[in-house]
Amino acid sequence: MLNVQNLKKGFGSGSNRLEVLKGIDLELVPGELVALMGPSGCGKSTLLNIIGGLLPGDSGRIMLEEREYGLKGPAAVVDVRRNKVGWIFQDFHLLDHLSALDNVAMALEISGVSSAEAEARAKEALAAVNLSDRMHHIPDQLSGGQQQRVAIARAIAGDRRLLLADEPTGNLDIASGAEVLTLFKSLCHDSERPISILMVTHDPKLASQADRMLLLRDGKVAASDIRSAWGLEEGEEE
Amino acid sequence: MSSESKFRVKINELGRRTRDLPDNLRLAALGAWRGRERGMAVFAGVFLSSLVITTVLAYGVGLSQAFFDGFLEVNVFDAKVEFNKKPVDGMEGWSNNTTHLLEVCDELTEMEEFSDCTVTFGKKGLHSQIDFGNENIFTAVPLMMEEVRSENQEHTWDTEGIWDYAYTTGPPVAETRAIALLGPSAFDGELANRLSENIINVEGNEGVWKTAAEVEEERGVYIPSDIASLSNAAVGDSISSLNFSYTSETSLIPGQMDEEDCDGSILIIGETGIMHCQHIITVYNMTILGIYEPWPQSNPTLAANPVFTTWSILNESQRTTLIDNDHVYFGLTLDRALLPTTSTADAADWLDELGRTVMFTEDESGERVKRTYSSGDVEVYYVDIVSGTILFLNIFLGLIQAFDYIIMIPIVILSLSVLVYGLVLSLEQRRREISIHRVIGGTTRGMRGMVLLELTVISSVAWLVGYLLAMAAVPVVLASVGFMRFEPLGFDVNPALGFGATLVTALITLGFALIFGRSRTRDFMEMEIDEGVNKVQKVSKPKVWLHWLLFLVGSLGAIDTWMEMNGSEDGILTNWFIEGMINVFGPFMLWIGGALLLGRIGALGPRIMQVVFSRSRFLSDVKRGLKGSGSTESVNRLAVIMLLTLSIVTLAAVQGYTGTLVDERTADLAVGSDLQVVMADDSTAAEVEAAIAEISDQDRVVTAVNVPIMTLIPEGFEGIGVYVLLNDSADVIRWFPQAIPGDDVSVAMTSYAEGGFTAGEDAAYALDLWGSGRGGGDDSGDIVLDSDDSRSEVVNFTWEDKTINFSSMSIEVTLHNTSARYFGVHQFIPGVSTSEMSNSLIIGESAYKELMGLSTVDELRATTWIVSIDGLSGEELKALRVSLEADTRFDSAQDWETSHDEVERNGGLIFGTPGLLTLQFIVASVAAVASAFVFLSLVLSQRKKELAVLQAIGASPNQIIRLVLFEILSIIIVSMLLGLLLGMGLALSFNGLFNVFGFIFQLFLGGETSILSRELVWPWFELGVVALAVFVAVVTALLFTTRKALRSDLALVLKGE
Repeated sequence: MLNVQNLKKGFGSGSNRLEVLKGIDLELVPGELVALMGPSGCGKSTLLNIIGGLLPGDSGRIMLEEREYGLKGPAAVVDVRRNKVGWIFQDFHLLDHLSALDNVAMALEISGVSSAEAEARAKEALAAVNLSDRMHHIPDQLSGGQQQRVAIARAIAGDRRLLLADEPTGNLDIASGAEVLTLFKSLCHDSERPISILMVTHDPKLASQADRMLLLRDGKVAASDIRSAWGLEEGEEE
Repeated sequence: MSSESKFRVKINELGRRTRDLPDNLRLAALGAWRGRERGMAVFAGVFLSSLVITTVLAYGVGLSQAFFDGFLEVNVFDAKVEFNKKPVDGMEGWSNNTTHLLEVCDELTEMEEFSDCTVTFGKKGLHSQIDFGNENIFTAVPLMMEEVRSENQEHTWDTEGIWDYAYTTGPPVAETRAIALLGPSAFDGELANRLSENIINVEGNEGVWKTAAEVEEERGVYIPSDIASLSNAAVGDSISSLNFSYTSETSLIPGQMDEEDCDGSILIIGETGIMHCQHIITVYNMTILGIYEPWPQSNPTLAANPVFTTWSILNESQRTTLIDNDHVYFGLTLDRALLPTTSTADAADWLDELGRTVMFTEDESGERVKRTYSSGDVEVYYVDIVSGTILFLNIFLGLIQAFDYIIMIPIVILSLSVLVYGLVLSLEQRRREISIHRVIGGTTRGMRGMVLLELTVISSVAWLVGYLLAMAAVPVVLASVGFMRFEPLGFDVNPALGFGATLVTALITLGFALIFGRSRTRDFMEMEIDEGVNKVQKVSKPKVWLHWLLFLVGSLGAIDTWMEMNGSEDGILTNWFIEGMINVFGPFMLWIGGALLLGRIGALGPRIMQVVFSRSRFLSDVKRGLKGSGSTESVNRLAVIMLLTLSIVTLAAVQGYTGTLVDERTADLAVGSDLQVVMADDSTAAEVEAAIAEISDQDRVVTAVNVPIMTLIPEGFEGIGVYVLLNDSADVIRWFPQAIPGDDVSVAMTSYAEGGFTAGEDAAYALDLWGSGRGGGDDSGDIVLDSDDSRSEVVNFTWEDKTINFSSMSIEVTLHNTSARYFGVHQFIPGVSTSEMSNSLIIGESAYKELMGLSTVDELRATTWIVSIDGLSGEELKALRVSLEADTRFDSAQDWETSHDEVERNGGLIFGTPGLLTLQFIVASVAAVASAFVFLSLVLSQRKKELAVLQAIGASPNQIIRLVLFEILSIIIVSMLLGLLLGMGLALSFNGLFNVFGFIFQLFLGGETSILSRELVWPWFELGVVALAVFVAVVTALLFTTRKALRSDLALVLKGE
């Protein structure tokens, strides 16, 4: 479903040049929940941003359900963000002045869905994340966990097959974090329309619940060595 | 800790701070420069308020200088120095030796304050202060013209009353034309400059103010143009003899002097009965070297507009006689550049001191003693001519400035609100920075210091830029002769502000910025502690009821004006006191209340426009993003600022154009057309036209028209005064709708030509016609009545043609009849005295011809003619008027330009106001454009994250631009429309204030109450241009900032870096 080949990305120029991704190869199959780990600055978020169409890579290629991209700027991959990839951020990034329902429906309308249908589908998505009773609340009136669930609803409502989650539980308490992970699992293992999730996390417990874990080191995908990764990053922040 | 050690700690702290100051300032400047985007908002606010406040203050100074210069311009002499006491034989302190007197002049001009001095034979000495208790001001008579003889047959020096002259300022001292015999120094230097200024030098009248030697050799005389006109004399003509009289004795008590007491002839001044014993001096063989245009009569210390000549025509004994009889003085000019220009009070002090220096000195022991001149021969008395002018100016300027300050209040408030808004936005921009400082241990006090220091640096630069620009702007504002119209000022103005005033501008702008900045920063820090770093601040609930109250009370004035403009007699406010109060305070209440209320509607612009576009596909994909927009404080403030600026732009443009038009109409009303001339003899239109064409010496179409006056007897009533509008008047006279019934001048003119007539209100009442206003609401109206209108009546008129039958010595009366249809109420005819208009009728040419039995009106003879000259205006028109005045065929002439200049100078829209309104218009327009640009950048950079999120969830750049454009443009458009509406209301409401001040000025000037109604002009084009400019600026700012936001690194923005 997602196939990344020899993806490279560096920042700066001349002697200040820093190669962050030095040739990433990875593959995700439908319905797979993959945790991406690695020390700070190893390029986890950069990789996610390139896959999510927020940042262009320098070389290499990404195939996502027949769509090839990876080297062009955000303006050229609107369709990827609109139809193929759903984003979930650590800070939720909901629109403050819109209700939960509007936040979800807005994303659908942007991609060309009519208002009525967008609302219907938004309601469905909010029901799927157990927020039917909170859909008219604005973000300020929701807890962190609930806000993240609205963000998940927004990401899945558009029928996107891949969710990118950048430390989705980083701002949540343990219980809410667990809830989000349970939700992820159920979405991935949905029998009808399984979704794939690529999740950046520093939390080994969370990572251990994923179907698979990738370790990024020195700009490359290393083996699934969860302990060494954890030992190095404790107490550090990306 | 002991108090001593506390003190030491404080001293150490102070020392440390002082040492750190340069570094801190450098860092603050660096910070300000790095954060210039947010700094721009603060800069804009402080800059605008500094610009406006400094301009208003410096304008006051400049106005005072300009006025002062203007008033001084009409005085040739700035001071009259006389013998300290009236000369009496054997008494010391005076001399009748002209050589000694010339020495006095030399000694006086050695003082740097005096630029020129001449010994002059003329008005008697006052020897004391000018005030009403002083009898000398009534007895100090000038040398008076008695008779001129000439061998030139065309001269008419014997015209009756040729030497009568009405002195309109000061006490009734004399009623005869004066003569002044000037010393040699009046023919060179500063005095020559001033005296030559009014000499007419046009073709056929090439007068020149010649040198002393030339004047002495040619025995030259300079006469005012009215005398030239009456005497038929021209430049170069000879005079065989000239008699003038001096006064030897005076009796204050009427009837006290009889022939035994006077070996000359006794002159009795009509108004006071004061008697003078007059003696004639005759001089021979003179030449007219120039004709001058009379100066406006001003300070009465010297007799206005005399015949000028040189005292070299007198022999030594004649001079001695005049000196012995106190008819000598020293005419002095000041070096006006030395007069303090900071304020009129300073100038008055300076002049007082100068007077003391001229009259007194200190002896060796330091005692104040009388100063003597010419080796101790002469003691003098100093009569200051300038300070009288200053007293008048002080009162006058006070009134003008009060008015000017009031009308500038809105723009000052606007500048301050831009400042406040800028501060708030720039603080919000620093949220993250401050939170980081806090995390690394910054104290509230330290951070406040950091913010305030940066604020100080930005504000100081902005204040200075505003201050300097204001100094450059003031001469331009003063040079404004109408709204957005400028003419060179004509004199140098140096509107420097004193230290105190400069400090005031700095305190108001910088002080306000810092005080407000301090309180906002403190609130901000507290809020940040309370709520964490990422939440929106609390907004205190606005007092909506107060806004409504202000708005409603303020609206009363606007509604009142509107009703009065639309025919209501009193409007809704009938109590004059309440009306007065509302006229003064209403505009501001309306403005502030309106801006706050309408600002809320403006912020709802996106929702309003969404309704308009609800069915369009233009918004279908992004409209949900508009929900809840307008609720943020920043958007609300943007709406209020747009509203304020646009309302001021509208107010300034409407009142500015209205004032300019009223000024023009006032000149139209006085002159009637390009010129109004009074002929020496009854002339026909063709003769008048030919004479003017000949003098103007240009191939131009000249059309002259007269408005004949006659008495007609309407059937069933008594005789009534009737003005006749000849057909040419339609084109020659500058008509405007207020004069005639209805709004369309051509309709009224056609109605007159077709045999219609109109009546003034009193005349309509007297003849039982509709429209007098006496019969209640329906009995008045500014409309043209159709022939089938029941209020229109046909009235029969009779004219009694009276001729004297000399054979039977009886008066024969022939009756001529005509009828005319009444079609409405007139107010006036431009160029014709308005005093009788209300109880007169106006008929057209056809009715007139029928009554007179004329086939044409070509042979109509009259003296007063209203004249239009095709394509002649400005200085050329003024020059032509001067030439006409100097021509013997014309008794007097008035031109439109001069009349207009006078209106502008003596009121009209009220002194200097066009300049201020122009300034207001320009500043508000610039503020609208600039604030749109600055604040939009800030608002959008605040929303960078939101735009990034939208992109992350799939919005295309096109969708984002559409969303932002629609949202902001709807706020701007709705706010601008509301601003325009509010501005219109303000303009209506300000009309009351203009009327109140107009009334005060009329009281003060004692002038005639203007009958012109101040009907507002709506300059849609100019408003459209400004609105378009704002719109273009907004779209540009939006595209620029949105593109910038779109180009930013999405990943970084979303990460919050």
